[in-house]
Amino acid sequence: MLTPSEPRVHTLDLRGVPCPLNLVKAKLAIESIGVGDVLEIELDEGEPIQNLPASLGRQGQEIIGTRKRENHFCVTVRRKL
Amino acid sequence: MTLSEQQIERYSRHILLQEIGGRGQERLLASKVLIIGMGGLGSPAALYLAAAGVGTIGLVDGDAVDLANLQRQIVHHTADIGRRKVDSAREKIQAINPDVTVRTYDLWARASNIREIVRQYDFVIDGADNFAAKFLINDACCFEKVPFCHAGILQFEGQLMTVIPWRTACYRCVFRSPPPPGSAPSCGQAGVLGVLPGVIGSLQATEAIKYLLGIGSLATDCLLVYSALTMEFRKVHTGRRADCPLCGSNPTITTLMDDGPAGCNRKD
Repeated sequence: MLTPSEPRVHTLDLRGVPCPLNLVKAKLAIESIGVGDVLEIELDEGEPIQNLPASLGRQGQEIIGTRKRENHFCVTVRRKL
Repeated sequence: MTLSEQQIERYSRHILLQEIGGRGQERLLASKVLIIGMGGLGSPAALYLAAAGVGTIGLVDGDAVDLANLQRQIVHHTADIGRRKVDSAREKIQAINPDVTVRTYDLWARASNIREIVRQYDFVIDGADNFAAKFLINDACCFEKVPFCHAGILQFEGQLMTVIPWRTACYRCVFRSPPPPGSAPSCGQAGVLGVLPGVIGSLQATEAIKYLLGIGSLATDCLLVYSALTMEFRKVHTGRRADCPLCGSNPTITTLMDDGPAGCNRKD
């Protein structure tokens, strides 16, 4: 029986990378993974967490969730296109 | 090809665009554009294509920088007067972007030399200042099947048309042959608004980038006409003609020929 392959989970640490360079790097990482795959992005609080998920969403990617870690956030994105 | 940290930052505003991204930027870096004429049109085209990260830029011009060029040919500076135009332009391109490889051809485009140059490039920008060279560029690009963007300027008006050889209208589909000598004035005689080639040359660079990336639609099968005085753009629609002497069904032009002297107001 054929089963669809599980989406692969990739990670990207963008802590310490300022806006808008973090968005540029997130875009490049998303380009490099397969459609349907998931990218977990570690992000600083403040501007990065305020801007980046919304920007990726506007570009058509799916934001699955945002989790608060100790001093930062982890955003999970699925590549849609 | 992988973008370096420096390149990611340099081209970040391109990478952010959905239509370009990292892949598109890598494509630009792997592309080759030839600019014929390092004058008013070639200046902004060269500067923007260099800034955009077009990896190889070829420059063709057999002239030296003259004081009367500087009102519109912004790639050349006052200190460049008397220098070869291709050398002056190469220096500015490399100063803007060391990623770019510049190849210079310090010569006039002629039937004897232009085809072998054109065929090494993905796209050609016609920045020539005379009809003979414009027809020569059209014919050479058609024979070599290299897409190009034609443009011309005079006084306050400019025009532009992109040609995908054998698929869209060529310059000869619209204008059969050069006008008789003396019937049309040159910029040297009629004058030209300095900023005009800035507008039109930038549009030519835009066409080159869109073609290289395969995005949007090109100014093909139409002549885009711009008036700086009335600030109007209009598109005159056209198309391939069966009776075109070059790309029609019974072509009479099957080989390259020089239609006159190589440059505007010059004898050679």
